[in-house]
Amino acid sequence: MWSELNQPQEELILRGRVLLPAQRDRIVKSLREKSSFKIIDHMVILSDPAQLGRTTLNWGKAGQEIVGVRRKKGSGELATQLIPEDNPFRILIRDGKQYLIQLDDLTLGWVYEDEVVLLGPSLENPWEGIRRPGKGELIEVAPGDLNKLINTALKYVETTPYLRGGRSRQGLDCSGLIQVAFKNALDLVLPKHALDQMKLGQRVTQFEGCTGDLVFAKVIGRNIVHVGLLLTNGEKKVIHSCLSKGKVLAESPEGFLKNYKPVGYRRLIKKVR
Amino acid sequence: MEMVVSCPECDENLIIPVDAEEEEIIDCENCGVEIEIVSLDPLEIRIFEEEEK
Repeated sequence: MWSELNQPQEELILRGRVLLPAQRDRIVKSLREKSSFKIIDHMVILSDPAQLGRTTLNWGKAGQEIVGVRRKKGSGELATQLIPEDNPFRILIRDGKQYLIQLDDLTLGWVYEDEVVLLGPSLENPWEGIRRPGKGELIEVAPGDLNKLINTALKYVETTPYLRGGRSRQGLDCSGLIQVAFKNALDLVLPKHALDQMKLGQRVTQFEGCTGDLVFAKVIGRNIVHVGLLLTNGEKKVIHSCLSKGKVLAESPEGFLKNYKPVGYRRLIKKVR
Repeated sequence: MEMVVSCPECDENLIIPVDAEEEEIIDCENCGVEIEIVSLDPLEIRIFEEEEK
């Protein structure tokens, strides 16, 4: 990032690149507090998909069955995973043999160059047409789609282990299960993190919560947000990937409440006839 | 009746839903920060900061 002082106009023009909008906001706020100049912000935000034309070095896909996307460069800690069926990701930064990439769900993370296949920088925007539910929005689905969502999630019950950052057959974490179920059943792309999923759709109360709604809960005694899918047709269940049980399970509300304290319910989809 | 307080992050109006529950997490419409409702009577809110998993 660099700045340019336009003295006669008393303007401070900011140029350069930052990764996140929050970083830009912090810089602008700090300069506003320290300077009387008018701040003109021309910074490029690498992670902003609206600017992908000028911030994408290249597009790529997983080059092997499962690719771990790491939270930090060179670390083993998974942010998420890539599989070959995923939509292309875009490369924001190359650093040695690693790339900082952004997936279609807007997750950021690092991969090694030999784990991926490059598709070329001038690929026509492969994210065009991706459906991402927004805040306050309800996506209309056919009645059969709700069953499809539940059945997709149920396929992982008792068969798939918990894996932090996982969203593949190797393992799923709580938000990974929700993401995979909505993508495979309804072709909707949700963010990877539970707190980001909580910003979507419409708030409902626990009494209104019904099949297909998401329940967000804190792990008891910890400030960690967990997410599960509600099933209220017949026997009530919460389908979730549980760290303490080490797998995906469909649990009774009573069982769920032994380990989790609900902090919110969200509805993302609406059945239409 | 819904309550309106100032967001501790951006100072904009933050609406506490009429059927909100203690420990519920809502987010500020203006700045997007997550707010935890610590108690309803008296109303106490705080910014929710998730710990490292």
